[in-house]
Amino acid sequence: MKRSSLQTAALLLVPTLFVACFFMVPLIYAVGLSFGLPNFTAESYHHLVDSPVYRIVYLKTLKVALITTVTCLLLGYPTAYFVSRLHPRARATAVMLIALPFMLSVLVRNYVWMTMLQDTGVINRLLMNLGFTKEPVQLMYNQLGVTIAMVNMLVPYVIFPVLTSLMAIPPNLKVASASLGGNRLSTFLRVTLPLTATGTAAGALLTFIIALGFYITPAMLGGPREMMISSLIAFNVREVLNWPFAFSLATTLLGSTIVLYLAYRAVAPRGVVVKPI
Amino acid sequence: MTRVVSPSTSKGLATRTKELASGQGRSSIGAGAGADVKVDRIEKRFGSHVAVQPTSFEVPAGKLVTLVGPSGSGKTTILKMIAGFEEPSGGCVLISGVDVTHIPAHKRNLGFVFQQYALFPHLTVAENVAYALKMRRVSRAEIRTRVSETLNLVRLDGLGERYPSQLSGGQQQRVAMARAIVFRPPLLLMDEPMSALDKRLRDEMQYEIRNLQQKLGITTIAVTHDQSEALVMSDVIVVLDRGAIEQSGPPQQVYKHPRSEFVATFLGESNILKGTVAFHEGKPWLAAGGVRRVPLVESDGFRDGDVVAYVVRPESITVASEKRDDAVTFVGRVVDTTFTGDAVRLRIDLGWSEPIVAKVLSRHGISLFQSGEEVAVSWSLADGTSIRC
Ligand SMILES: Nc1ncnc2c1ncn2[C@@H]1O[C@H](COP(=O)(O)OP(=O)(O)O)[C@@H](O)[C@H]1O
Ligand SMILES: [Mg+2]
Repeated sequence: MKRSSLQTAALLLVPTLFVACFFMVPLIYAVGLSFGLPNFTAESYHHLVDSPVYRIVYLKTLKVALITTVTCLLLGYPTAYFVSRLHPRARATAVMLIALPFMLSVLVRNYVWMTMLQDTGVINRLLMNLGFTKEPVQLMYNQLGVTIAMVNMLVPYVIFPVLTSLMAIPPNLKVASASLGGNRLSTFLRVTLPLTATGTAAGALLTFIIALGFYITPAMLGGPREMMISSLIAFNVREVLNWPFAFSLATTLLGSTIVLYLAYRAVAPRGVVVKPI
Repeated sequence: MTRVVSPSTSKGLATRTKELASGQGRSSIGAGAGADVKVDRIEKRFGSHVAVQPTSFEVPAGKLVTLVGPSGSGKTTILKMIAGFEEPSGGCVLISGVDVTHIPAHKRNLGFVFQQYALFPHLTVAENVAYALKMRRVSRAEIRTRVSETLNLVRLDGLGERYPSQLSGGQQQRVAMARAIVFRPPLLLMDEPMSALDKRLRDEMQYEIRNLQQKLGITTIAVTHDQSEALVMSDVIVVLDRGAIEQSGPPQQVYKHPRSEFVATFLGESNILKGTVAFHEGKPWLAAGGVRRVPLVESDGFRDGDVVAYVVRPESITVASEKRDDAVTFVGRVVDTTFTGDAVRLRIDLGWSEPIVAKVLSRHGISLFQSGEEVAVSWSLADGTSIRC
């Protein structure tokens, strides 16, 4: 017993040190810089609060992340539900297809969306050829384009946790609900939905957090008004060279994420363990 | 195909249909809640595999019928077809005279106790029990009284706020029962309700379920692969093998007069003596090795040369040191003895068959007979049953 726990500790030491040296230390340093290390000053934060530009970008970021998350939920949950009901072999294929885009570089995927969405892109040409519209529809360099691409990239983060929690529901629970007089809708609302709540919330949270930090997609598919906080951070790091200010933006973003996570922890159902029977 | 006679329904068909659909028409738990059930030539095929051959049986109102058979004999499939979880390939199910074959499960108003209970893990015990009442839009106040009434009935008072994962196996079993009876279904179906419990608890629950069932007068169809459970609990047992009924009837009758070797060996322990029928002075005998051995019951309508298996239960056999006059008697030699707690099992070689097993009660844990000893073995004519092969 003792020996094996010692071995476990030894095994964990290397990754722990790695994370500590190359992630935690720089992170703490960055937070420190945002407070004007080695002195202490909240100047960067004053700047952040005072300037309306940053507040607008910050709110815009939250809004885009929220819209993306809600859209991902609306598309992802039904997809996961459908996939969970497939024959095992078809399900394996579906899971592979959903995971496939992960194997492409983000850059490539953004370029693909550009060829799809631009004025002379696939979609607009199709619409015009079919006579739905004479003028091309503005599908990119605006929030729509950003949302479409972000949803495409983030929807698997909803699908997989939801699918996992759907698959963990013992099939007999649905039958039990039917035997007690539950029709399909009430069975879904009272059994399936609550038992997938944790997985769904986890997927939504993950999506939201990743969406907050999106950088390339808004830059490529959004217009100047779609600037998100990550672009602003990059701008301050690379162009303005105001690192303390860039890090105060990053710290605020990190802080919001942590607050969100804690909020989720507080409201997530407790003591409910779905045991596969 | 065997049928169990049942009284026919007294209520009109239309009234019954409405009650079935709404779950109303009964004022309190118990009080003549049972429906009679008729399963008519029901069958199930999965592709080319026949899981259930055309099978018919009836369950009189308020009785407990057990479907018993080895694993894979189609018990669960039959139960699922009655519950509406599985579409039959043919035949029909009548509950209180109403054909429910094509009514979806959630409209059948039947209680179902699942093999692994299938309790809702995210709901408390009270919420689990209340589930069916919520589905029926029963008022909140009434839900509260009926849930506590039912929890009291299954002796789970005070545990309503717990989650299923915080209960023992036996308590979960009771919750499953409570959940299935709280809406006063006219029929309760139970699929191996006690297979997940240890033996002590199982014995206890058998009596408890039986008591509850009789108290409520609820018609019940239970499934088990445990023959002793079937014998203890049931008014009627239906023995299944490979998707077909082998025999059905009251437990004592089926146990005493098995009609096939399968039933004889599946229900309890049996000595099976193989031979042919030979008439002597107008009376049938079982002959083995060309010698007349055991007198048979005349009324069974034997013909000379019929091949029969003669069945006698180990506990029907008397072992003594001297031959007796009034029964079937043989002299044999004790092969070995085994102490089983409440009894001693003796294997006795009669010289013309496999060694015969006798079970004699042990008073002090010691056998009166030793291996190698010569003993007289006897049983009364009525304790033997012959099966034509
Ligand atoms: N969904 C199914 N698909 C194919 N075969 C099945 C299915 N369900 C049951 N069977 C088969 O039907 C037979 C009876 O099964 P079941 O009713 O579960 O038996 P029991 O409950 O008596 O153990 C078995 O041979 C089983 O393999
Ligand atoms: Mg079964």
